[in-house]
Amino acid sequence: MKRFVKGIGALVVVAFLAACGAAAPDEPAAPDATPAPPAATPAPIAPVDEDWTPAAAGDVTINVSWWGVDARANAYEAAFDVFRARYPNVTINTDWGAFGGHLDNIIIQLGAGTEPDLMQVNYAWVHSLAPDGNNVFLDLNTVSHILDLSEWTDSDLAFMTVGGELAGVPHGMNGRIVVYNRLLMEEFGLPTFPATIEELLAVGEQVSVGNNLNMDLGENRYILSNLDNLLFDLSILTWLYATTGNTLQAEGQMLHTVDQVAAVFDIVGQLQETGTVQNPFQEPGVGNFMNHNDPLWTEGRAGGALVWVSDVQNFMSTFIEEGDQNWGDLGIAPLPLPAGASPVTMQRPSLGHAISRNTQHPEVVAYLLNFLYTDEAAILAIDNTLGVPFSRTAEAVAIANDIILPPQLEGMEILGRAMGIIDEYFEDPRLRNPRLDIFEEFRHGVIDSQTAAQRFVSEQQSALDAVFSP
Amino acid sequence: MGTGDNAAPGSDKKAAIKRKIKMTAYFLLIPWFIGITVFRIYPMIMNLYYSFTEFHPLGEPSWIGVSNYLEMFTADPVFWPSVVATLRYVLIGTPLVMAAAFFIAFVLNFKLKGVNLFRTAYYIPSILGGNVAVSILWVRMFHPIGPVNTVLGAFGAEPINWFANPSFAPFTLIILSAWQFGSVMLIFLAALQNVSPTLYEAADIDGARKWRQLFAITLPIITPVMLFNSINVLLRHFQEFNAAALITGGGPLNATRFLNLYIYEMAFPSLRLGYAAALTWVLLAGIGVLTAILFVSSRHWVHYND
Repeated sequence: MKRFVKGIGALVVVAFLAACGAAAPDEPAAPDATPAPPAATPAPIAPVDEDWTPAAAGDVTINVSWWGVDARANAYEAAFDVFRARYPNVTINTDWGAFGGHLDNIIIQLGAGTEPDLMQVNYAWVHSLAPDGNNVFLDLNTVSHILDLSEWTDSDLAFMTVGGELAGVPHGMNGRIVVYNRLLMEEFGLPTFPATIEELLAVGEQVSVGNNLNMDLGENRYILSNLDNLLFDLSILTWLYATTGNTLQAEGQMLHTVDQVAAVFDIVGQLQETGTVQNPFQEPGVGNFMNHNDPLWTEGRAGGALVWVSDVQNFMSTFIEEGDQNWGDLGIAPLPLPAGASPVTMQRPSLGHAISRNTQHPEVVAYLLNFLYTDEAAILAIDNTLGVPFSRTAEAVAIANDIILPPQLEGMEILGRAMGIIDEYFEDPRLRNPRLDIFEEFRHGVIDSQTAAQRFVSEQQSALDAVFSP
Repeated sequence: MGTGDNAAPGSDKKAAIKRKIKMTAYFLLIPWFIGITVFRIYPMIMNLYYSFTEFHPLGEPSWIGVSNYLEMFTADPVFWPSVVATLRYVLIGTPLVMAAAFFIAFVLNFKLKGVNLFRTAYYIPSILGGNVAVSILWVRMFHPIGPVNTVLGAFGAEPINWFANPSFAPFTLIILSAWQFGSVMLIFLAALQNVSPTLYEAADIDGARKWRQLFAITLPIITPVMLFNSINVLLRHFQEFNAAALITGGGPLNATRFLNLYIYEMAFPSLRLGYAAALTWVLLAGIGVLTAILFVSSRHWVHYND
């Protein structure tokens, strides 16, 4: 009852808010997320009851939701069809849509206690949606006799552990790597994408000769392109980590000084001044980023783009289908770093799956979740639409059946070389939105790097204080 | 006494009938009363309460007094730019929509060939609303190499970077709003058609020219409708959300971060329902002030028949 009243309370505010409708298109198609390897210790794993099946559960209806493109929806449905055929007593209703707005739906559903039984969740959500650090999803340890948690390592599960409870299971790791255009590299005598900022700046200046500085009239070229407005956010994190060895925060405390942050803002300034990346006037405008469909990318005018490994195939597809290029014209490389910095590629678990605390059929839902991660037919049906899995069976089946595309494997190999973990609140909108505002003001020349860095540190700390306040 | 005796039963009966009618009326009003209490008054009261709390959507609201209001007025770097963006949109967009709607209604009030087709054509954009398809259309129209710059270029103008430039981005949304004047135009058209032709005939006999007739007859007579339209358009502009969310995302540099969009951003992505609730009261206050100004000023420019 209390939960219901709380949900009504949230809905009351929603009802009064004058707007509602569209979603803030501030996230890429790829999953979000974040935590640093959590401190909480996962509960001991209960032995899996291999004899139990949903056939014994009688007629059951389960609701499942996810976000993603059509291919992902078709893959889920194909997997569920296999399940439906085996257990005709289980009805699976599905609900899916675009990433934008999906979190809003989940929040409202959780508030009212009407969330689906099984949810595809973003890694960051399980932490952001935990008021006072309390998990709002079913503790998966309670169904570990059905869900085989030994598929994951303890450290994998720790990523989605909230307040000592297992809020979800992660599907795999994800990080941003550079997908680059070999044709543009060859034109400027480069065998591969530049490895250092200095090399990037040098060639970036050459590539941008002749660009219109006030806008892109369809002819501008850049060695590195900002296709989703997150290039700088993720780059700054990488450069800070590479130069200081620290991610953004730990336990609510910012780990960087103003001078350290100012130094990376200076890099952004140099990238813009030399034309290595677009200035804000050369971009299509906030809200209009087209990601892999941007003509800048598809027409081969961008030397490279910083993309999620799980999103690589989308960039490759549009590059080939909408341009005149070939698959072999693309390469994969890590983000260039300042000279002398430690190699690192920032990453975090990609999407995961969580079960509702209010589900009437926790064992059946856990069985379905287990099926998605351990049944060969299901794994084959899911294909690579969720990215590269790291749970034991799913990974083995994916590799044995060549499900993972070569560029994705190459991307994963880069992630594996030098891991830097993106902390769990880095992509929390309470922290990210103020950061994006600062980047915007800096890039428009409204504030200098020192002011930007001061605001960056103080506003991030304020946001962290709010997140971590009891 | 006898008369009184005779009259009493009749008046009692009338009173009873009146009472019955009243009771029936109240009874019929019950669903409305329940509806407005549950869906309007209660949410408003609760929203006011939440505006004094810190409220994570999945947590419990905790009372923080006027901290939300203090924060927005003194510490929030986005609030004031958002207020400025909203007021700019309202104060430019409202007169523009009114002028465009009246002008087109005035023209379409003439007996022109195919006038019904034009009326329909001008009304269609307002049916479309601020949806995704219209947003995509607008993004393409105002793209640096889109049709708008192409047309401007034909007149020798330099291309404009509409969405990336904070000086121009708000105007793309204002123009979108002005383009969707159909409903307002239709109301103006109805008002214009209600102006008695005899007034124009009398003015013709007196030798008044068309412009004189417009300002001395037409406009004064339709001022009540102008007031009605002004308030509607004003409210619509204050509540704008879709266009900013779908086309500009509030940028660049908060130039199109209207209060309604900011409220949404605070409520959902930022998980601050209490702060969002406080913002809605500021928005309501803004709407109230400007609406009051319109009403008060209407004594001087609105002419009722009585």
